[in-house]
Amino acid sequence: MTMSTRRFVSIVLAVTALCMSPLPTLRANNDQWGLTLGYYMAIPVSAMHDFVDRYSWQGLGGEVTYLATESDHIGFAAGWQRFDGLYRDALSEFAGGAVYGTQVRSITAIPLLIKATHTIGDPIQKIRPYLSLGAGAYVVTEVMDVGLYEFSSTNVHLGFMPAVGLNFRLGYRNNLLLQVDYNAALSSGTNVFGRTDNHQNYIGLKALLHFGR
Amino acid sequence: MKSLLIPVVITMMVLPSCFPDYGLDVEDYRAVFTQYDTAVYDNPAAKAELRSFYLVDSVFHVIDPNSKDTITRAYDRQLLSFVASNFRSLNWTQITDTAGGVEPSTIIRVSVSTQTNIGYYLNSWNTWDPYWGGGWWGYPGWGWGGWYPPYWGGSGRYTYATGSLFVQQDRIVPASNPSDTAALHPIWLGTSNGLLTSDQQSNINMLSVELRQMFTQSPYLALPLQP
Repeated sequence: MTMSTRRFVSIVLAVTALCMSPLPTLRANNDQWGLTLGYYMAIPVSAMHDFVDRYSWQGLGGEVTYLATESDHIGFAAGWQRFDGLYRDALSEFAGGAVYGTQVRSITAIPLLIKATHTIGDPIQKIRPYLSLGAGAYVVTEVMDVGLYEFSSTNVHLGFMPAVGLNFRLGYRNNLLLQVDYNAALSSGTNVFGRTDNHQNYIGLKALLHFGR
Repeated sequence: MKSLLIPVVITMMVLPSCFPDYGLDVEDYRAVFTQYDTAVYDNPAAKAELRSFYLVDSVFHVIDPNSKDTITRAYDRQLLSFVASNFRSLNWTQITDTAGGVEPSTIIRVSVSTQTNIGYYLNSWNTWDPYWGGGWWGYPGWGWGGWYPPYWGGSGRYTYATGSLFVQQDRIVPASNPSDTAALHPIWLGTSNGLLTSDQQSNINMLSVELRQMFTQSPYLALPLQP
């Protein structure tokens, strides 16, 4: 098992534990609490696309939700999305210099968001569309390995995530959600090349299982 | 809660396989870095003062004072000639003899260094795992699993050699007081660095390509044609 794989499994366990820990007690006491777990894919856009232009298949996350009304949830969502790519004969310029060689670039984004979701239609409908908006922080790490060297930059960005999706009712307490969202992490700190224009945006495509009403 | 376990377990089993194995080889662990003084090369007035260079006629071997110099000098002439011809092709005038009172505006030095690195590893999950314990001994600071000794269990030792070539250009800053000596101010540095193979010819071929790359990625070095 490589270091990346172990790190990945650790993150899976941590996110799962984070999402699951309060749930048994809360659900025993209150039918309004729920849990969402999902698989995330993503397409980098704008500055993020300039650094890694590959589709990301590596992502997961979860959300603890509270049913405020029959149509509205609020919740806390945490996730993990990784973009990476191999670039041979790549030249990267930075202030006062440049570096050339085979580059392995990666971006890891960890969104930590407070979310509000409004589901349209009657709760007994099999399929209902929903809209949601999340706001909070994105912890984004850019890494560039070139030759024997590694350059990295980690920043905490304020950000927001509007989303639309479809809720497929699988049972009284189980739902399948298919969601498209736009993750906008506002500029913060400097990127791996030392530039301050460091916003990180990507389009998320998510398949989620929601356990709860 | 049982229903939660199935998606969690599937996720944990399937997703790690998404990590790519890039299959990198020795050439992938080489890189060319260039740095320059923006106050000189991005400033037309300061750059206009640069016209010529003097190339130090030896390649410096950067080694530990207590170590024996094992770096070959077989390719020194070739390296120096290549550096000089690249600067000349960018409209720099090479000064080879300062006895006639013609002072160069810059000095160029070429240096090489090599290093043999030794690593140790223990591949038992239950004993000591370098990935959890803080990194390979003697391993340079890279944080991804693309290059490490093959896994066959047990423990062992491995070595790898790295080499660097430096081309440094210093501007000569004349002393304001005649009794003082001129100062050298670095304005450009090209570095080629990476893993070495056991084939010396292959190494020198890689260096030639990388030397060319140093100049390719430094277009600001070009001077206007001199009358």
